[in-house]
Amino acid sequence: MPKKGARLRAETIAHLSELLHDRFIHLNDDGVVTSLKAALETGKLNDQDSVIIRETWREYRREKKLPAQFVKELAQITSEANTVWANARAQSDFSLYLPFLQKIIDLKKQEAEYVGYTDTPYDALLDTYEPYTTTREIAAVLEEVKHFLVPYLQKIKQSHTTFDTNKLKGDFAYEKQIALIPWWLKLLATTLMPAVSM
Amino acid sequence: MATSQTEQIVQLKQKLRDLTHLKSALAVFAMGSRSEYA
Repeated sequence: MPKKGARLRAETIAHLSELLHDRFIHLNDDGVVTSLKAALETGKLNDQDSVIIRETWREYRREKKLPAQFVKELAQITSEANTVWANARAQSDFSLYLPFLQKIIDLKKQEAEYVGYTDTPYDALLDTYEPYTTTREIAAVLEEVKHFLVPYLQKIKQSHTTFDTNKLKGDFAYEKQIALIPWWLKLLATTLMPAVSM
Repeated sequence: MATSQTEQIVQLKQKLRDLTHLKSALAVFAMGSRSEYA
């Protein structure tokens, strides 16, 4: 992409994001979403329709809480930030990216306030990636992983075993790759998994 | 005459299909600019 085109592309993405947001909110202009949500609560819809209506309602409610101007601004800054980040990385100069990162964090905090939460602001943001999951639940999982991963990483760092990674490069027959999978899973189960359950 | 529930569901699915096209276009457009740095 031409470097001078980054801003125009960001503006286009921002416009499309605003358009999408606007269309989503107007889904319910005729009251169809609200009406179907009421039908969903009767429990008489089939599974497929139930899921479609439940998820549409979830997204509709979220979008409705966000002002169009906010959606546009967030899309614009994240798109622009991408090019700035690439440039900062090439020059190994984080300070170029810092103001954009700060702005994005501020906007995401604002988003959490718009959407609302009960426990922690991140719950409002997590919902777009892991619907119906809370930060508290994810933290418990990560804590469990940390117990295994931190000592395991230490073990790797202290290991004197070396491996020629060139062995991993090349063309390998499809059948041989398929045959490798059960062997690899067995190895994982016998070496790694006991460590996990420690 | 009030729209039947079945008709409402059909209408909603059609609207969502239209939205999905827009959503996909946006995602592809946004990803295109990011993939250059992958």
